[in-house]
Amino acid sequence: MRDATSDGPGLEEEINRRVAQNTEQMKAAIDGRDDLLSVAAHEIRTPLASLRLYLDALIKAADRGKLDPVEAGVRLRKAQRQCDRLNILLSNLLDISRSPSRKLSVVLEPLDLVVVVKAVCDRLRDQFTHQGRTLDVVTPVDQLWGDWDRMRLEQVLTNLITNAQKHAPASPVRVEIAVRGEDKVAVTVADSGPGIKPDDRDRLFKRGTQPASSGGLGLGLWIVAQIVTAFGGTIGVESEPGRGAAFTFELPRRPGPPGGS
Amino acid sequence: MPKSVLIIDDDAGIADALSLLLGQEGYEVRVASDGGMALELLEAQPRPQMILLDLSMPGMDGYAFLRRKQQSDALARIPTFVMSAGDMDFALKELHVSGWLRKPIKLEALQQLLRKERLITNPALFV
Repeated sequence: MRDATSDGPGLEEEINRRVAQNTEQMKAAIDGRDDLLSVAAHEIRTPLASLRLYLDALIKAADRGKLDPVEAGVRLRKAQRQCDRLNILLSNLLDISRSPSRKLSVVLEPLDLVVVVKAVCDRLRDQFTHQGRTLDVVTPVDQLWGDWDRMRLEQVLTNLITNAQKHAPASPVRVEIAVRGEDKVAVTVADSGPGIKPDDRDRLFKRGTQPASSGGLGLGLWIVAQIVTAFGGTIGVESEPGRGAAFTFELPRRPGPPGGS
Repeated sequence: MPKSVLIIDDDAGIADALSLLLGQEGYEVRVASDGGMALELLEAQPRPQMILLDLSMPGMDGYAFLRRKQQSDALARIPTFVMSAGDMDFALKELHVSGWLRKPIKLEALQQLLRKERLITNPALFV
């Protein structure tokens, strides 16, 4: 007959070890979520603060009866851009909180990439101008069609451009479209900022492994990679410290406009 | 001659909204997205009468900017206010700054600061 007590201390030790391990993991997960919530609150507060200041300025001008309709339009569009920024941030947050097992939702429709790239850059350009910087679009063609999700494509472009804006201060940013063969297109967002260290470069697109110095949610690039993958594309970065960074994503495309020959 | 303010903030939205608000009140506003760009702007005359500074920025951050600013007698004299979400009272002396503005910035707090710095020339300002 087997002596039940002989396994006792070993089993108890194993149970205690596993409980301690699980507790540690849960604590780390809770701490991680707390950190994320804290950073997210900060990130959301920033565009809200700008929105509030734009509205303060508008209200003051209106109260004085000095609100020029053209100027009011300009300011309202600036306020609208802060709402767009909030929308992108909240989309990012929802993507982050999504369980890794759930697929990213994309609603594909025929889109002209050139139009989308230009629209996103037009929305962001005045912020660059204000900082004494340029945001240029380079495209070899007038239109390039593909089946993509407009909101997601804008999210990718906005995340990459604002990432360059934040991490390459005072540097111009160039968004370049390139046709790759019959069925692919590439978009590169390049800056001439401080560049990325090789160690950091390898983990840029991974969830929760962004460089500590990156600030913010630090998850924008992870989300960008998720969306590009959902479109059936790929993303990469070329960078050397001190020589800027160029993020390029490649997507499958249609050979021509929908319904075209 | 209009009073001038230099805003140093990497967040283009905040910098733009603040400069729009101050510009509307007759201030001449210049914007820098990091400390390095701010130091370049400060080489030109006339220098601003006040600096509004964010601390956390890529490139040269607010702390490094303050250290560099302190090395120049001319720049050290320009009143500088840190824009921060956290309480900065305890660090004012160490950072050599004149005060701080809580983020998110409220119009009333900005108005109070400009009054304190005697940078309000127009009695109808912000009214």
